[in-house]
Amino acid sequence: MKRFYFVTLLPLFATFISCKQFLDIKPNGKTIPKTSDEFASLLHNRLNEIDYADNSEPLIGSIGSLTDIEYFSDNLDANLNIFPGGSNLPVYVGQKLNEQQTRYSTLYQRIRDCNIIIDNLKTEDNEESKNVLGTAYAMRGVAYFLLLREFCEPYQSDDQLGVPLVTRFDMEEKPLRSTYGQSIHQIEQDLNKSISYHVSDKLFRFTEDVSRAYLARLHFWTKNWDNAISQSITLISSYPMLDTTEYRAMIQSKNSQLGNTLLRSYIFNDQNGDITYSNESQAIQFRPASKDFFDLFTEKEEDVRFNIIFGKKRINKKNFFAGVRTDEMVLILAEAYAHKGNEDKALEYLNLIRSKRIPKYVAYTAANLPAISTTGLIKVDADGKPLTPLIQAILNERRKELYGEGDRFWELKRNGSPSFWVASNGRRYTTYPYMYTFPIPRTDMQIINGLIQNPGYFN
Amino acid sequence: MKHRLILAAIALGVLTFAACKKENEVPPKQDGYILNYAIPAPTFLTDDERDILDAKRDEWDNL
Repeated sequence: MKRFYFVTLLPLFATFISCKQFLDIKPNGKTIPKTSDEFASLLHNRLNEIDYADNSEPLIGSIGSLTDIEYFSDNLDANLNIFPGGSNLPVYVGQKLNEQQTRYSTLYQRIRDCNIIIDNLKTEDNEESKNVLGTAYAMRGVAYFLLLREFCEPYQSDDQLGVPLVTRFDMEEKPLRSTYGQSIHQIEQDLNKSISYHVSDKLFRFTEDVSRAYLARLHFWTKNWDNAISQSITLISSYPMLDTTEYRAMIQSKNSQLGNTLLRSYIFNDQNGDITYSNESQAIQFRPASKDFFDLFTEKEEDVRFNIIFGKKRINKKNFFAGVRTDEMVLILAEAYAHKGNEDKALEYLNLIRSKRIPKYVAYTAANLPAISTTGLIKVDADGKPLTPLIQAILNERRKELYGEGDRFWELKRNGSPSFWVASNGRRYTTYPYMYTFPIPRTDMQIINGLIQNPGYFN
Repeated sequence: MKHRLILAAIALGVLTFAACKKENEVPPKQDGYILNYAIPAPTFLTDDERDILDAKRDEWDNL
């Protein structure tokens, strides 16, 4: 009998003391790809989401994410919603703030995929490996840039809070937020590393020029005017501004990457993408453009953008577009030079963009710049200083040029994060300054001790 | 019988202490399972604000 108990207990004993890490779910190398082909297929899954404008694609965006950002800004006027269709449109950013927690996780999922590739693809002896690594570094840099822009406050100094940085694949890592300076350094390092691989194969989408454009965006966002200028000049020398006819074809193209567009989503269409595109394009018809935006087009039909953007009663006609084109670099140059105090150069680039959009334009000089608007939302520039006529003219030109491309909301954030309200159903909904910076997900706050939340999100 | 009890107690002890390496590795229990942040409630429009809205709507209606 004693032997029976002994024999029964021994396996039980062995069972429970042998599993010290029964909850360890690390793949321990078993599921990591090995060849450059396998890594490329991991990457192409993600790139396909961009090509088909999958709604959950976080890096470049789709018409769904783009329209939301436009609805949050002052380009369209929620007070003029046309019912009943307009009742389904977001009234203001507050309505969608909690959804941004998912976006945070999705961006980190892309970073995880890139980390797997960067950590494990050791060979760089063939063209495909170089393309895969270059693309992975670019995508990681872009993901961190978007996290910085959306989940951190507008840049004032390197010491303010940045994003948690994860640069190797470790499912159990729980990093705290870095400083803004450390985040900038990481993004710069990733994009420069990507540039060093000279990716030119369009199949990989994040080519050398795309990385350069994101570097320009990063330097512009963080007020590193000199570097923003040098990257932008390199790009516009390779991709100059287009004349009216080519511009119109590029902007109104539904699925083609034309002209000086470096990267855009939705270059392939499938049934899902087309249905989403059609639904979103119809939904925009229920919210007219704001009068304030419409009035910026003082040259009316003389400005080629006017007829592209506005239909009857200020209803949108432009094909909303998610991507990067080098016309933005001209605007970056104008503003960067203005902040550096080089008024002549700032006017040169401001007039360059006007000359390409308004055939019979009158060149701006220091003497004929429009007076400061008293009704515009933006009252201060990126440095917090009161607007000058020159900076205001540049911001207005940017608003006109990049309408429908998801830019204006971030411009509001960058230039003073102004508070404004809209009405719906007899109530007033206010976009408060803190709402321009999205909340760190609640689950992360609960799991990671010491993680600091952005202001405004406490309850 | 005595041996059986001793063996049962030992087995229970082994099960209790050997299986749990880190018994506190789950996050601390929260009061509630809340995933969202509270957003300020909208306020009712004042008469002045209604006037602003009416002016905007009139301007647009007359386009």
